[in-house]
Amino acid sequence: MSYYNAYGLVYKYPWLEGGREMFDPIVESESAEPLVDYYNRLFSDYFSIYPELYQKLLDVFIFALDKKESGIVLTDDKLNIILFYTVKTLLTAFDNRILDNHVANLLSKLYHKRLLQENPQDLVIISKKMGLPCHFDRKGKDFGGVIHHFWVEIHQYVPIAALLRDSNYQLINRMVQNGKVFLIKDHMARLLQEVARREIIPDHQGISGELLTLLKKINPISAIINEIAIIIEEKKYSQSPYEKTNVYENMVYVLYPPCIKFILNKATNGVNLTHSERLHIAFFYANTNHTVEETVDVFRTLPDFDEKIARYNIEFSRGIGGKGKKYSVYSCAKLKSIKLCKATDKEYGDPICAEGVYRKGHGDTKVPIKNPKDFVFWKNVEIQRKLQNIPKK
Amino acid sequence: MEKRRDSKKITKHTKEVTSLEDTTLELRKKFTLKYAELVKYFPKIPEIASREFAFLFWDRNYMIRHRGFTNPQHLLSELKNINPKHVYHSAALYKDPANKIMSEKGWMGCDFVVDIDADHMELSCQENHDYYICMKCDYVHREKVTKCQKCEGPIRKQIWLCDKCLEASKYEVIKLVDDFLPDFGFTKNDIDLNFSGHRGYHVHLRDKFIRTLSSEERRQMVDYITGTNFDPTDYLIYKSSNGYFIGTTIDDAGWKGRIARNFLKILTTHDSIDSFNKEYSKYNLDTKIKQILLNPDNRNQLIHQLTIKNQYWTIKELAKGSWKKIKEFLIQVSMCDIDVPVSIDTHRLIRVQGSIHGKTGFLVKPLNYYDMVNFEPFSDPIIFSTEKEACMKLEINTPICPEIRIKDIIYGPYKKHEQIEVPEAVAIFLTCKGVADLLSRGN
Ligand code: SF4
Ligand SMILES: [Zn+2]
Ligand SMILES: [Zn+2]
Repeated sequence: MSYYNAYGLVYKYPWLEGGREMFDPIVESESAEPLVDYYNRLFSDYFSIYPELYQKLLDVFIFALDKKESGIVLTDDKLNIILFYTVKTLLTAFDNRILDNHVANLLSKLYHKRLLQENPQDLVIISKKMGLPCHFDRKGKDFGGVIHHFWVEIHQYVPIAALLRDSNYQLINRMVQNGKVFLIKDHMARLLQEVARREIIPDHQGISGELLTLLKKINPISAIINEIAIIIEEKKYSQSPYEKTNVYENMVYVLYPPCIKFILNKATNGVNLTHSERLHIAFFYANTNHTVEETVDVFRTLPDFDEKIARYNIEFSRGIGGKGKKYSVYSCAKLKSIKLCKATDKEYGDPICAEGVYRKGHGDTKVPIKNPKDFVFWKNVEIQRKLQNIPKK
Repeated sequence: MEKRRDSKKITKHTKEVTSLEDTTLELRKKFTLKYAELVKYFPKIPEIASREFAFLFWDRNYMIRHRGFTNPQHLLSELKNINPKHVYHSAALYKDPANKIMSEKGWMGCDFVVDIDADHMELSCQENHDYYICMKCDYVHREKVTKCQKCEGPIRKQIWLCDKCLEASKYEVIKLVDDFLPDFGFTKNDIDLNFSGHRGYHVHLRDKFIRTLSSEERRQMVDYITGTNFDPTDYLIYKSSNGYFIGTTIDDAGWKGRIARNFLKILTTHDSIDSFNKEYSKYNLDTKIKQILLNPDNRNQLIHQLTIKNQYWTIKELAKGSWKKIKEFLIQVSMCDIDVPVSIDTHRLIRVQGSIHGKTGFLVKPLNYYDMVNFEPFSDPIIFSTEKEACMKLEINTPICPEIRIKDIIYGPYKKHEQIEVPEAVAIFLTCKGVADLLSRGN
């Protein structure tokens, strides 16, 4: 048994060395038993030893798809290892990136909480094991009155920052000195949360079909697969909170400007948003008759979603509750300058954005739109005209 | 330095006007002879066997790529044989650099290259020496145009270089090396630096860790250097209720500390608007704000607050709006102006150190940091003769040819059809630039 197992860390963080083998000791099995039989035996053992496994598995998927904060309690015994790898196996079989992201976001948040409770020395060991080694300095460095006890070498930091995309974690917004990035414990846990998130997401290698067939032959698993499939199916119909709304003169998806569609798509896929992207969504929603709830829903899928903070920020952007003013939508010029404009994007672009619109008093030349609300207006005009078969000009 | 204006004007019309091909042929010969001399001193190219080489020629306008050389001798003899106008190698290292299919080259890593070049900077001198010239009617435009304003003819851009361009580039290189690279853990000895042969400098970082970074990861470093996405959320804000600006301290790390250190440096260096403007006029800080900041009492107070590492900055006359402008100004002066795409590209071709730049005839000269600080871009990389004895006769073929300093003599400006006799180095510069044709070979 390895050093880390001795500490029991692998039970708490199953992706660490040795975890996989504890879940699935097939490599050690010498029998020529068919795979189906082997897994049938393995899982019926697991389900009988841990009767709560079934509900726990189901909860992970239900909560993840409902974008609920929590309700799942992670254990720190073998059950946790089994849960982790069974979830990962199911994700491989479903081969659905949205599902991957939802589940990974939910679980990684739970691991984040767990990491926050670790003492510094253990955090150092765990971080090493997770491939993002941090160093602990009891005295720490005082920057602006905040003592930074941890540091990560810049070359270890940069790859994770590139994945995180969160403005706050970009190298430029960090305490960088002499090839080191200084951090507080919260930051360190957040970085490791991202590593954990990536451990949960399987690297789909085109084996999903076979695997699904195999898993369906395994008794308790096949029942779970069916239940999850039903939930996914249901979610498909009620998926986009932004498709069903009838606000802002009937805000259907096509009426959203390219820059907003792009961000919504990122969010739906559980990809973190930058600070400006969040603000753009919040201001646009605040000015197009969306409710606070609808706005919160956009952020719900994000890996670092915290309902309280999100709500506070959104209400702030609307000037609710305080003396604050209501912010107007960003102008297209501003969005262009911060590279959020998607006017000519292959997937989201739209001629209204890229070329402008014909307006009274401007003859044959198109006039550029000024802000994303103009887009909604002109897109609506375009649709109405199409419906009534009126030529463009 | 005492600068002299020179160049003999040829008054009598010479009959030896040569065609463009002849000029090209002559330049090509000059380069070949020069390469024969240079090979002896050719700088070492690190990991030469793992790099892709590429060439541009005098008589073809396409690039020969995907060449590989197992050792320097092999490259040098090829240089003598093929007489290229421009020589490049990949910043990337490959298992099979000569493989013509990019995906089969076997990428093993890529140097982190920073290109600092007046081309991508906005400099006031460029208005005086960069032109957009109509290829049909010769009309000269100072602003960027896509077709001639007079006859709608096609446009060529004629870019030039001057001391200001190269000083601006050098200033940014020093900023990069002194101020930014130490944050990444690099010292002056970890960098490989060279004059680009034209309007700037290249800095190569070849550390193992930096070589393996992906484009996305390189962007983190590039954003850091260029100040992109700097997002101070809880500092650099004015607190109206308390009447102070939440600043930063000189001991802070990263951009936070950089802002305070630069502020302190500016305040200690400049005690008058005149001296301030000499360095920072391009940033358009309001005169009113400058007056307040540089008022002796205020200036001393700020210097004191910064020195004792007080992060709350107070000046009675400055309120929210002014502090916001000061913040923007401090961010602007702290940024380093680099050519971003070069640094994030992991397959980039870059000019080979020790080669000759085909647009100037200047040497792409390797430098260490201290060489660079004292580097004289219009003298040190001049490899062709500047002796009077080695003069060549030329005819100017562009409607406007700005002046150029070579060593300490200024040549030009010249007008179209003007016939001149200038030293070899100047003649090669003007012909490489494409603004003159050769009339005679010289010696
Ligand atoms: S033009 Fe305006 S509305 Fe359209 S994508 Fe760009 S920023 Fe958004
Ligand atoms: Zn013209
Ligand atoms: Zn210049």
